[in-house]
Amino acid sequence: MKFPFYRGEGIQRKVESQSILPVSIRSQLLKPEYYIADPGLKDACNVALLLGQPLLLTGEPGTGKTQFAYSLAWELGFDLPLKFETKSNSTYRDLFYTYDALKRFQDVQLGNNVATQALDYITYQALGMAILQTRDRHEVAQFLPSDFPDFDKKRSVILIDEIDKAPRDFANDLLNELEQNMYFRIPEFGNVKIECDPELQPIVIITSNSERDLPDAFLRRCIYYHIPFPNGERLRNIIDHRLGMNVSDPFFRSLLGLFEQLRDRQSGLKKKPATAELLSWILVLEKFNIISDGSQRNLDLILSTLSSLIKTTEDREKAEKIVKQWIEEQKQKTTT
Amino acid sequence: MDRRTETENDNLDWLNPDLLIEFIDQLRASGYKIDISKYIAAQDLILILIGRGENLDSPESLRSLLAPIFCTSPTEQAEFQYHFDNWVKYIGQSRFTTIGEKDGLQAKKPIKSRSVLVILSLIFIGFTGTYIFSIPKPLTPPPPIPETKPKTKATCQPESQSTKPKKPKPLQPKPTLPQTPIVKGPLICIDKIDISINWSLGLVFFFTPFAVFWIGKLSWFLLARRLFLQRYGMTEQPELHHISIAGVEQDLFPPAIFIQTARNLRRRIPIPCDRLDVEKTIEKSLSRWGWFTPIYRSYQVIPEYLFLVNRNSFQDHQAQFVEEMIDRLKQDKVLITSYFFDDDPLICFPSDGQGTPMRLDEIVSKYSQYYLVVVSDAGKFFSPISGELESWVSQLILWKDHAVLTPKPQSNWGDQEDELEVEQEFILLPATPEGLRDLSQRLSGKVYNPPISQDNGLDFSPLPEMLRLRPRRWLERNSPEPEKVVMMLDLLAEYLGKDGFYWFCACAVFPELQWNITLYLGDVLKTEEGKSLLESCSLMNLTRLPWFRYGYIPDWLRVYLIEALTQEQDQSIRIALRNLLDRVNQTSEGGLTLSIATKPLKNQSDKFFSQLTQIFSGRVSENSPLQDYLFLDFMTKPSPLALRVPEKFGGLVSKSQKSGSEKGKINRRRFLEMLGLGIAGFVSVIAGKRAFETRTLQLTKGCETFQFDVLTVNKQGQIISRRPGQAKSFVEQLGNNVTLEMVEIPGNSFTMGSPLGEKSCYDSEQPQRVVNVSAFLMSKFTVTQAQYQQVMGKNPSYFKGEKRPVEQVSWDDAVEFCKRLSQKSGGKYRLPTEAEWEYACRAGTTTPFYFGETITSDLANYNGNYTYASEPKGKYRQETTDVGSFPPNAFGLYDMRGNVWEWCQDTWHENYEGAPTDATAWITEKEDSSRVLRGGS
Repeated sequence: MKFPFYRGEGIQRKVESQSILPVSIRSQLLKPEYYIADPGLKDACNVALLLGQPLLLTGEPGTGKTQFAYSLAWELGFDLPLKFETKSNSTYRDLFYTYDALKRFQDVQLGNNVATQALDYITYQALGMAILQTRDRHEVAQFLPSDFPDFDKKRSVILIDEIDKAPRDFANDLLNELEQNMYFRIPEFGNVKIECDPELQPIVIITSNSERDLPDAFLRRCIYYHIPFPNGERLRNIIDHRLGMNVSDPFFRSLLGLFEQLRDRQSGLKKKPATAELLSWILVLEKFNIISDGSQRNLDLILSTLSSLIKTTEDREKAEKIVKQWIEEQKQKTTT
Repeated sequence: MDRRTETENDNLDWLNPDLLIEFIDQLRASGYKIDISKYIAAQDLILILIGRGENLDSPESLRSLLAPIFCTSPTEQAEFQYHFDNWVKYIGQSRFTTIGEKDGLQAKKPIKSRSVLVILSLIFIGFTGTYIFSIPKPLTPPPPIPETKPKTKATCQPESQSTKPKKPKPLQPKPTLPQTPIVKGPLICIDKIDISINWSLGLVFFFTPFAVFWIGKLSWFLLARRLFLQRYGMTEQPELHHISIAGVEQDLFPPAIFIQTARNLRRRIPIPCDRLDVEKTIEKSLSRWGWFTPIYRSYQVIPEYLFLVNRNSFQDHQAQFVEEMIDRLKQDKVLITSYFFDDDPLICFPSDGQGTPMRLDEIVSKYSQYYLVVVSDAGKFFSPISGELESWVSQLILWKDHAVLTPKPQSNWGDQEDELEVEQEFILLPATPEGLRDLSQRLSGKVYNPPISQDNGLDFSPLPEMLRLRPRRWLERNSPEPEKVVMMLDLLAEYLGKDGFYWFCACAVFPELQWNITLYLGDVLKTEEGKSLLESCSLMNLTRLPWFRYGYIPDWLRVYLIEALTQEQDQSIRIALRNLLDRVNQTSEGGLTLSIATKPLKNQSDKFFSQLTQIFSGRVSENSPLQDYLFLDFMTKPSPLALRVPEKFGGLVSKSQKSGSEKGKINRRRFLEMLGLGIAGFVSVIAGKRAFETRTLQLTKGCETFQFDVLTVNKQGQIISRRPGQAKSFVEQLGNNVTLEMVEIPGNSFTMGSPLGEKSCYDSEQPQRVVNVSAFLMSKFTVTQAQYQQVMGKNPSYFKGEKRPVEQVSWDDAVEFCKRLSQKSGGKYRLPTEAEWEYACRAGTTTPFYFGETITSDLANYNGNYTYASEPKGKYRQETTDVGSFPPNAFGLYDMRGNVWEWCQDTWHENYEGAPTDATAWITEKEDSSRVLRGGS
């Protein structure tokens, strides 16, 4: 079997319609209903909810930190979480809103007197949006730009992603904001204070790739959970739940064995494949009918699917060696 | 109802806030970052859960709920389970037991168990001793001197005339006996019993050397032991215990300098950013007539510092010194990240010991915003071969601000330092608190006053060249030539000064170089002027020495250094160290942690056997790399290199759990030890066997002594003596009240056959020879008809009578009888060999008959019409008599002479030429071979 779509031979083929390219199945995977939380994570989350403290999640990339926020919002019946992507120059104010002074300046410069209302140059960000949405619309109408979407009074989940990217002060400043009843001020409006409804405090989920760069004071204020890499049983559970595959199939088990082998310290891989990569890898294998076919003929194809699992050249060589060895074993197993 | 209140009580018990607070305190003590708000959060959580009617029956339900509150890192999260388990256990315990007592017991345990061991082995020895010596003395006192086997002593006169010589079976005995009864030889050996006796005795002997050795060793130990710390080389890692000692933190640095330094280093610095400063931009733009002129804002941030510290080894005192300074700054809230490297920063190791090593280029990209401070000798920046700058220096100067702190005193700086400072634009300062302060001033942009070289006479001398050029040579296990050592020590004394040298020597007393101990000694020990060493000498000078860089003083050097101390100094150092170690405690994470292994007991025997081993193997080969470990050892003879420690110390190093598994391993050395002990045991078995040879025969079942008279007659057949005799016998029950009485015949050697010239002796009884007979049992009487009937179920006898001997029995019948008897009784019965028969018959006598020179019809049942010597003619009874009608011989055997003939195992031979001398049966396989008959009338 060849790669069905792209041949790289410099020959263009007439294709009937573009739609024969597959829809990304991976995006399906990200649906919150497929998420299975670690039991510890479940408890940690409940503690955070009970105490009303932010939940800080760490863990290897690909263990589902970000996913968790979506799953939480989904299970609680909330709208999608409001996500704040941390940048290396984020300041805490960016969490609430951004104010485009430059554009306003330009507009004024150009003499467009049409829109000189400060309001129109404000874009609310995750936390600001969440706080506004805890109030009735008429209470905060004065702060809303004209194009602000309609909303009902509601509670939301806020996801502050990869906080370790931000400068050190960011986390410390954030503390103050999260500590008491949330509010923010907009100096551009003469420092009005916009407070959130204490009943509807937003639920804050913070993720970080390494806890070490976070200040102690910040760590102390959070409920913390490190998502461990799922072990064999849980991994099968996840796959079963997300992909609906028959995980008890011996061939499938040995595939998982291969995956664990790759993750093993002895494999010497620098960047170990994570759950997310495993899922997409299995999807690829499925596409090539390797799994359902269940056997030897296509085993060699596995090598060509490795790119969904292994991301660096250095690792690739090592991984290929392991996979080849594994394929040999499989072939022997079936012949004997 | 009752139950319910009980569970409520339980709940209250463990939900008691004090317990929870205790737990949180423990976590805090273990290094968790916990502040007041977390205490409150935990309480809140529990209250909320109770408020919501959650079921909190056991602490277990809180396990995964509390962890997220207290943990702040994956390691903490993993360790939390352990702490929680401990807490749960503690709760359980405190409910039922008091904990204090238990601890007290544990401390005593090692000593106790040892004395228990001694007592046990004493009991064992005592028991085995009594066992050995309670073995009954040889049975019959009179019979042949119980000599050891190989010796041949008794020369006995054969008695054989009247006895029928070995006769082929078909040949009926010539005598004119009316009955020609062929009677069963009663001789039956119960070998089984014999063997078991020897076996257990052998075991006892085998283990005696072990036991004696153990007892000796243990009691010697109990008498003279003391607890010492010593360093040993091991090829494999022993089980290490970590013991922390509290209260060794010193105020190493003057606080004033550090407060100032930290303040400077914390001063925020502006960094540019891409955001507009709106007000300024508008202002500026307006001032330029509306022409847009952006002004960017800058941020004030706390500067961060990256320290790369050259560290030769884990115990590098110089790096520790720097680390101490960094720690002080960190306490003062200076943001410092530090890495260690070993001479070459291409790979750096995180200073907290966690996380993976980083390559220099990774560090460059990750910490580019930091200030770089490298702590290393300037010499390391240059290649030792070419003298050029190392290639990695070009990566270091990528940092905008790069500084080097060098341990070398400023007065010794030379070309290399110049080049770094001028060409590479490093800020070059000494690695001292003062240097750090200057650095902070330079970095924070303050006016920098070039340091006035404050030479207080300490930082002068350069490191002696001998040490500088080849530092590793002084770290080797083997000492260089003594002259060189002495020379080096002189130089060293000069370099360090008198007090500094004293400090150095003091550090050598403790088996391991430890930064904290070095500081402690510097603080506690006084110079002659009464100042502490720490004040009066330069710690920097000390830490620059190669041994302090590598954290290791080889033993040969330690000997030199300890010898250099006066007795008084030595004493005060040892007292100081003992005081320090007395502060040991198990729980607190003190500043000083020692990794100590207990010296397993078996190693003492190692010492003992190493000599033995060397004899066997020539040389103990140690092929794997040696590594030194600190061992806690009981020793009796202190070596100058060992350090006595308080007994309290021993209690904390719990017994090695791993030793069990190690015991399983048999290496060559151990094998040789075993072999040695085994040989010793074997030798003692042989020796013991010899010594106790004649005593070993012992009857275990139904054994009793019986008395009888032994008669002796002269040639005229008159009784000339009547001695009481005794022998041991046991009774075999054959059923139907029929018994078989067996007499114990001790082993010995005797001369078999008739001497030439003895009256009526057959050729077949020639030549005489000495035969060794081992102990056996023989039937007291010839086999009676009752016995034969009971065993064989038939009675072929001509003269019927229950107590009469059975006759008309072929050899095959006799053998069959033995076989059946063996099966029936479980013993091992057989016919006697001819030698055994003759030995038993003679019973130590050398006369022709066991009664003396002749035989009379009062003494045996035979044809009294024939005479042997000058005795009168006697009765000829012409029939068999009841067994036991006549007196027995000295072994207590009846009817050996007369009455009936008795079968032996041996085949008949013309004479004794070539006969075995060990009393085994002499059997030659011939088709018609006939068997030997003895003892008839």
